[in-house]
Amino acid sequence: MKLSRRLFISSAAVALTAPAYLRTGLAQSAPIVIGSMTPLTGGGGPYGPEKSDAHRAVVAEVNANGGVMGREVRLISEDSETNPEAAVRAARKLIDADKVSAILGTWASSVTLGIMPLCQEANVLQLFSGSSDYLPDGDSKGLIFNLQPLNKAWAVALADLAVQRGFKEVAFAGPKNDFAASMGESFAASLQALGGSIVGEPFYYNPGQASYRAEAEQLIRMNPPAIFMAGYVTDFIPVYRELIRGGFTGQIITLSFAVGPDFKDAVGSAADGILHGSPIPPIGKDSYDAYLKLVGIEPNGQVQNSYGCMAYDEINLCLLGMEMAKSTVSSDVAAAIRQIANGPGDRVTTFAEGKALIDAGKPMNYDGASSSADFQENGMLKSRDFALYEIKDGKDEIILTTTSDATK
Amino acid sequence: MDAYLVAILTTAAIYVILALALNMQFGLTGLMNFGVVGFYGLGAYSSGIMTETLGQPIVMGMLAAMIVGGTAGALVSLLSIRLSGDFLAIVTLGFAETMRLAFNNEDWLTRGPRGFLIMTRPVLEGLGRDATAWFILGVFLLVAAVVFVVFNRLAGSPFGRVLRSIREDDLVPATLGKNVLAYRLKAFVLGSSVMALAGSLYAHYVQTVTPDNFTTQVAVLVWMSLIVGGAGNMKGAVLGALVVTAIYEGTRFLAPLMEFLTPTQVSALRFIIIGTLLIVVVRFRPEGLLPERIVARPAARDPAPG
Amino acid sequence: MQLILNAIASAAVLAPAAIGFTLIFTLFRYTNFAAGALMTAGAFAAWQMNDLGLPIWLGGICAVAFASGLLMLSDRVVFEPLRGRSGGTLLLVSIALSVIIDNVIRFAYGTQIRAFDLPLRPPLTYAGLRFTPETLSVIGISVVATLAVGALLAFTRLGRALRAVADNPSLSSIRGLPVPRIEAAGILLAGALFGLSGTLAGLDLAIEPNLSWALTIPVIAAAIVGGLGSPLGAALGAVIIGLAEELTVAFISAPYKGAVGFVVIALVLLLRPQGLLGRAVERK
Repeated sequence: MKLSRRLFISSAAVALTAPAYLRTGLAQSAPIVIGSMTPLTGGGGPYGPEKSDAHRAVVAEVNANGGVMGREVRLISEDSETNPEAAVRAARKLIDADKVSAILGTWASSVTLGIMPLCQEANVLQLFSGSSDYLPDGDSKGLIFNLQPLNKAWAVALADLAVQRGFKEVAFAGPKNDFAASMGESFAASLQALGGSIVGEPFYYNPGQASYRAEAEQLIRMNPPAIFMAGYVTDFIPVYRELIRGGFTGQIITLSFAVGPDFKDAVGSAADGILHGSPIPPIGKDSYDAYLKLVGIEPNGQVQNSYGCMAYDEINLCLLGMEMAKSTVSSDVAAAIRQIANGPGDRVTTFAEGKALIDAGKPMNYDGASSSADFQENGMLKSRDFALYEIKDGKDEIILTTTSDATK
Repeated sequence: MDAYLVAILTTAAIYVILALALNMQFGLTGLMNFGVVGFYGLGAYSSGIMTETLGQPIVMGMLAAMIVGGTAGALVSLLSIRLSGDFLAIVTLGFAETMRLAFNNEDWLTRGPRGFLIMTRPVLEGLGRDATAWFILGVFLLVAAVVFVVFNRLAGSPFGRVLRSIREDDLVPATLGKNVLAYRLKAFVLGSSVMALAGSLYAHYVQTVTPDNFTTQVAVLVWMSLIVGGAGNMKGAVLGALVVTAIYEGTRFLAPLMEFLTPTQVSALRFIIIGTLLIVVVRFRPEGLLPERIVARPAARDPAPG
Repeated sequence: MQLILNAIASAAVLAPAAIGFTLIFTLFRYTNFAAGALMTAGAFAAWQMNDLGLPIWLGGICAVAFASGLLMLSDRVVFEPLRGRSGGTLLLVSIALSVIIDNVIRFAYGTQIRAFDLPLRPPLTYAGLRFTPETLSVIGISVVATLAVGALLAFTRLGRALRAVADNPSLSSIRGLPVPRIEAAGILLAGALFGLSGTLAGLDLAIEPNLSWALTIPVIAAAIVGGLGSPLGAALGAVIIGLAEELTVAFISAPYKGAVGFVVIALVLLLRPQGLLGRAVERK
């Protein structure tokens, strides 16, 4: 027990003297450490790399131009494995070994919620993208910012689209995960509000299976005029293939991230006719194009890297918040992020522009690559652009863009 | 770094308990339970439901976990009592997978994929962050120590020797008039209830459990602990769990050395290293770091408790 | 009827791998959990060739050769030095091997989803049954492969030698059979079957590194249900697993489909431990 006592005392001493360090010149040169925890393996595997690339690209650029508060930013990447068990271990390492000030980039709501108790306890900021309606429940300190609107907001727009196209009877299918389960509830409610209804029971399947033929067959047997499928690309591709090969001729409505380039490559011209929608990066907007170019992608008028652009905003907001607060203490940074994100002030889209305003002592309003990034009190987005598309000749053709208001 | 060490040791303590429990089943008795994670998850959820849904104190949660885990162990054991070797492994693996599906789909009880939030913690109120972490570690180490002492005792007792003889060849104890099935049942139930106890500790430590917490990966790590440490030897199980946790956590620190790889590749490389290490240990040190030493002792004073 | 056709189509993907699995089991008495990883490796090999411009059937042949070589390599490096160890040890090692193969694929190809260059078409209809040309060719190839392997084992000298070695290696050795060479032939054959199944899975599903665990369970289930050691049993087992899965989704609960394989295994092990067409296997 002697050893542990010594460890305890020394760790307590470090904790107590930490603020003192910050005031010394020595600390000025110590790097700012930020954790990037993205799903590189597991169900989120297809979406993780673009998020971690965005973090890395912004940090490289900021460091090349003098860093934050004159200090170097050190980004430490960890794999959430899209699994809360692994994510909690990784978060402990980030928080306790690397002493990160913030953890960015978590994707699955189960992971974000899983590490939230740790982050709250250690006063670590979380910026992430997630849509489970339960996300705000875990935060009691005002330390979370979510770049993705919650499910409720998506469901309204998609139900609206279905009804406009004459589909009042829509079946619902999705993997049995947090995201799809709450999407199913929200969609059913929105559809009912418009006088429509869900065909049969909402149909859930287990993701990560070898074959989805039986599931597709079950949907075909229900014979609905349209199906709304809230899947991720990993399960959406095989289910969709089985639906087409099983002879389903009704309308498919889905979420845009399931029908990205991966999907179109995989199914070719059979993708035509799918209706899809989701919160979108503002295509053609300068901030979105700037992000794409930063990570080496040519803007082409299509939705690309729909999660990467949120990661770009996560890291920009986090770094700007620290620069403005002149601190890495999470409550100060969170307060600064609220000012930066919501304004009022001059529009900025990058860290460099924001830093210039901070140096000049002027207020700003950050306008992001994924959205205008304005937050409610609970850290959820106020609104986000939402677009509805139809796939024609292998390309997304825009039907309608709306701005969904999450505060209603 | 200190706080991180505390966190790792806390996780390691849970793996120590799991490895000890598996050692009772596999190391001593030769029962291949690949469903470790099923009992572990059952314990976590039972305990969470006891303390959160039913508002009972944490001790009741731990007790409930052990009872539920033990009962499930008895059922699985009775169902598959005549199976041995890899067939038992497959059935138990199936049990674990089925449990995970149940956690995911029985929303009314487990909140399904949303995750079960657990507020009850095994600490005194009003401690600071560091003190809380140390306190939890202390509690877990205490539980691990108790499990170790009890199991170590059992292993050296006549009960343990019957289990070992069953592992070697179940004809011999049968001829000596021992009820082989009853002994196997006892070993399995004992192990399963302790696995569930570990699940209970884990749940109150991480405070959010979701079905994804209980994937086969955890079972693989526990098995790795036991094989690396030395099956049959309780000290080996402890050492193995510590070594495996150190490897799993230690490989994280390789990432900064490999800036030229993408994070996806670094993460893949970590798993490649872990898998390779396991194969290397099995190949070159099959008896594990601390081999089992079977010492013929005079009959112990205390008879085997049931 | 549609249900049965669908079950057969699913079974067609699993059957060759289940036969490969059963071959390895009878030769070496261990449960190879790397089955799914080998199939995934095969699928990626086929995709890589297809992506380079080769037609799919040629890609499939490459996949067969690749998986065959990979299983041979892993046997030489990993399993051969461990002959005679307990089934549990080998099972654990095969899981570790599966983790390694999956992550090597992930290392090389990332986590993007891939598919063969193949148009996606609505089905043809005949007598109320819906089917696609791909489904028919998957079934056709699988049936031919199953029958060919069955015939090989039953009627050729190599097949008889394989069965003799599986029954009793030491006796075979005394009788002058070149046991190591026969075992090597068995490994190559099993690897080829994994590669074939992998290609068929690629035709039917998306190709991604996460696939392997989802493939392993039904393959092992099919082999056990059919009776370890019997190639035709493995094929029949695949049909039963396919049918059980279809029925579960249609009448019980889709999310529980993942448990079907295990439940069927448990039932078979309890009620008819030697499997449907198998002879009693010594279990150790």
